[in-house]
Amino acid sequence: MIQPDIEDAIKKIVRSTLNLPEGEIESSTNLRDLPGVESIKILRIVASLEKKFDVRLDDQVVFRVSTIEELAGAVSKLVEERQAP
Amino acid sequence: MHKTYIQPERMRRLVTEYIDRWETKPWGAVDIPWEQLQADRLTEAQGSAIRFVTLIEDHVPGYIQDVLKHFPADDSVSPSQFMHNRELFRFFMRWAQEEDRHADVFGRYQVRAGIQSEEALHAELCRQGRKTWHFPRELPVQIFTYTVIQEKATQLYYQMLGRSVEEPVLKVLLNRIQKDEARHFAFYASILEAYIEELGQDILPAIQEALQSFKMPLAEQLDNYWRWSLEVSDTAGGYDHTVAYAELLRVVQRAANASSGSQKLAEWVRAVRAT
Repeated sequence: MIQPDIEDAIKKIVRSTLNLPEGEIESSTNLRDLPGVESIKILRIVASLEKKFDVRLDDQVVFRVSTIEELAGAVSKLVEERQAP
Repeated sequence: MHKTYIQPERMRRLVTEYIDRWETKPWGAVDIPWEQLQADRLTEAQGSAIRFVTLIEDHVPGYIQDVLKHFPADDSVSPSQFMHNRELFRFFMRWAQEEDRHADVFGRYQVRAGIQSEEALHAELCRQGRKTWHFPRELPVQIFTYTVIQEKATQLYYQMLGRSVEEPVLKVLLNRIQKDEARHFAFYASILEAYIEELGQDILPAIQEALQSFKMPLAEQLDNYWRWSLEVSDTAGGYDHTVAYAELLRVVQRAANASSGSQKLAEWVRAVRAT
């Protein structure tokens, strides 16, 4: 799975977790700037992502990541590492 | 900020009031109706939640060691501060005894309900209990801000978990423990109010700092903390510890009479919950 697909999956999880209406969320959006966001909801988004892609993000990444793009990059890296021969 | 602690006489009165209430509410492991335990009514997630809270409660040696460093009762402080700290020591000893009782009954519950064996329980308690914990801020008023939030959050958690469990003995345990936590919250809230009244609005920035740096106990010490705490929250119907921030706000507003300073704190509460 390439990064844009992961970004789309993140956006879907973000909308569902924050009850946001259908519409474009930019990849450069800072997760902490989204309406209705709370720290626990960001952790829920990360937990859903980890489950969906069967990865485990490092805590350093979890607490420092800000945009959807960055989060997708971190997940993508782990997925690629797992798929590497 | 010149003065950093309240009059020892006031501390004595507040601690004495707590003790008068506390002395009428003793209970222990022998009072629990263990014979009514129905372990098959306990879910795996509830068992995991009890393992989690046992670790938090069992860390009491670490908590008490750290808090006593902040309130020394020796010749390193003035006679007046010694008296303040000595009175507080009376509360801390009772508080530690109650927290230790929670750890004791939760541990016994784990073994009796088959959540884990006694050997596995004590190995886990030893592995996590040896980790050092510190209050995130230094000033007395910041320590009381921390404890106001933490005790209320813990009480709310046990209350919500108690509503969601069907196992009768765990229901009894959670109900007893949440009442203890409610008393701890009420005590710390009375101290924080006294601090705001005596030290004035100048201490509000220090309270804001304590709020901003707040993390539940052992958030940085327990293995896999945030993932485990999410599961534990879900087990209690989506509990969120930041709900307790509203209680802090109520305490501050009551003491500061809804001043502009406490309005600023209300804005901080909203901002902190979003970060």
